[in-house]
Amino acid sequence: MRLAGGESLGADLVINAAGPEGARVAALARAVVPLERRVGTFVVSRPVPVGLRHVVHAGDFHLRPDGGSRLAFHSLRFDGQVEAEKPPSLEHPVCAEALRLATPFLPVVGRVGVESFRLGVRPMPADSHPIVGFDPEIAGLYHILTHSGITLAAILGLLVTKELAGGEVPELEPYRPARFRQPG
Amino acid sequence: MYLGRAGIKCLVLERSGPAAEASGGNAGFIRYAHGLETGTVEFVKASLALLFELAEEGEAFDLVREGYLLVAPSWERLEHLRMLHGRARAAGLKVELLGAAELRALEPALGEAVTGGLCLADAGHVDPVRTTQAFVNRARRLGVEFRFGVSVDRILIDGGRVTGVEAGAKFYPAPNVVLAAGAWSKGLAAGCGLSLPVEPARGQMLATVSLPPLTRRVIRGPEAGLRQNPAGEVIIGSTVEFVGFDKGVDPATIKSLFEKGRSDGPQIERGRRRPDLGRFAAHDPGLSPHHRPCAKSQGPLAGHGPQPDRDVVRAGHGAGHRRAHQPGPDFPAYRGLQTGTLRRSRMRLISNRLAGTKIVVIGAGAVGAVAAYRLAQAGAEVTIVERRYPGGGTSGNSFAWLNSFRKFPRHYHQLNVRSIRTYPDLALGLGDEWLHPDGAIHWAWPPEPAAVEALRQDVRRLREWGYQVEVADPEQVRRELEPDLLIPPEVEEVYVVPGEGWLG
Repeated sequence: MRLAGGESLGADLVINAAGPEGARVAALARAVVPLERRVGTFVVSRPVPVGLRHVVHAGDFHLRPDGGSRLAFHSLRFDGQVEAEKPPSLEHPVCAEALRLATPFLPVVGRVGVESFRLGVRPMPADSHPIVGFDPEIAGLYHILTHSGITLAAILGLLVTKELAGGEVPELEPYRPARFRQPG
Repeated sequence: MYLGRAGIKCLVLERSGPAAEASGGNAGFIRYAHGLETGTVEFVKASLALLFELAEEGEAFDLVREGYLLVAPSWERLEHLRMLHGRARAAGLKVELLGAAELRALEPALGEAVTGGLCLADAGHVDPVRTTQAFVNRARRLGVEFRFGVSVDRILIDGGRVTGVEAGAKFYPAPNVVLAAGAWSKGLAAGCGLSLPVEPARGQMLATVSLPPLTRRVIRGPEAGLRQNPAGEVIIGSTVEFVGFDKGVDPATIKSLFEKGRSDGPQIERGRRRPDLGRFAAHDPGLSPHHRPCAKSQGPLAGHGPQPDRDVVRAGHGAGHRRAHQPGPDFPAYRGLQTGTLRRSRMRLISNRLAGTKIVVIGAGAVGAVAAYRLAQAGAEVTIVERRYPGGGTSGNSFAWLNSFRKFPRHYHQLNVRSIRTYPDLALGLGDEWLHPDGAIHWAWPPEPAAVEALRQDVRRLREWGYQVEVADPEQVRRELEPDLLIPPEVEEVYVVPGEGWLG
């Protein structure tokens, strides 16, 4: 692999865990992975004097503690209202909407306001399931790409290591990159 | 027994006879392993200390205290055992981590597939029926009255206080009621307006014909455990199946238990006679399928019911030894994984099979970082290349919930469940301040009929898949879990999913 600064790294194997950059990284090796970039957002409150511990799902509105007495709010509806990959602003209507949606469950939230509005870019495989395994075309290139990276990181780390150490991992069979190959 | 010892007048009502259900129909293992897994090891230690004390006083438990051997058929499992080893040492238990050769020296009959194991010296097994009978006899000597064949219909409450129980047409007055009805506790609690998170779980076991001596220890693989009783029978079991109160015996499950016992444990086919699967029969009182009470997190529930305030609620899974323990920790309903019990420990290499392999990982998000960490543990020379900084992309800007709730189809759901369950192991090597597996709460919102029904369907499907989702009423959630959370009055059903959570 050659890095942008000109340095070369020799390797027996390259793992593509580049998240939303996964398709671009694959393309550097002339490999193709069907992966979309999809914007995701969430809103974080200022410190609030409530002792929430669970992740709370009220329909498609989600709230959870975020450390430092802050709360985080998320809804897929927010994602649709955000312009792709522009730096988010606290003036964005989504911030006020998050407070409005949270207030029936935690009234104090309405009084403290929003501290930050965060934007991330999800790597979304074409069938929305993880892409894990050797690239079917390029030897030595191994992909681990999923939009559920937080939940799945722990098991994928173990299963990938098991596979690369010569073990059988039938659990990964539904997620092989080769499933996207066109017949013929 | 302990109430009797404390001089408290006590009447025990039992629908059939002593040890008729889970206390009789269980494998009889007494062990710390479950406590190590669930962060309740101090509780288990206290309980076993009482059990051993009773045995030393001459109670006939058929106690064999020669060790509990956890065996690992794979390196992943061995890594898990290393983690348990760390916890066991921290808890001051006599414990030894054994390689394959040491293990075979200890238990020459072990199967070939075993790669290593963990021996907890101060544990073993009892005859659960004899043990229960011994408790009953001792309690009687202490003045406790037992009435068998009396089926309790209701716990009676008046003005927010327990007044007694009703059985048949008869009223038994009592200022306090201890609910120890195992898998049936939930129904009795519901009858007096309490919601108790205890479900019946069917357990099936297999017993062989008498075999020559194979082992004195409990040998426990990842899926089944076995012991050999003084009569020479090898008891293999048991399953935990959430099938309600169905007591059917499933021959395929029994066969599979036999295979599991054979692969993880001593090679029982070396016996003079082959194990006889026909020995297992539903009419065999010691080995029929039983209903164990499974609480959330499989932990015991003990303490005063939240309302009314004078009755005592108690049920548990693992009655083989917890029965000997006096009231335990606070009512731990809805507690997920207990991160507070995790300890930092140095992870050792899980194997060296990737020694000398050079791997470059592109991306230091959660996925790339965990993969790099595990690969390095397996001996690979790993370099991570990251454009910004660790977690500088999606991982650091994610809502970061740990969730298996709406993950379909089943294989994908299961991958997510396994991953969430793997996190405590990962935290053990890395510190756990970032891991918050305190559970999730769901309700349909706005609570329109279509949304309520859709959520019910999701829950039904998840439960069919064996996923733990509990129904709770909103007031209970507020009282016990989230006192600051207002659940609007129009919400009637709330679902609680222990173990899910979020990462910081």
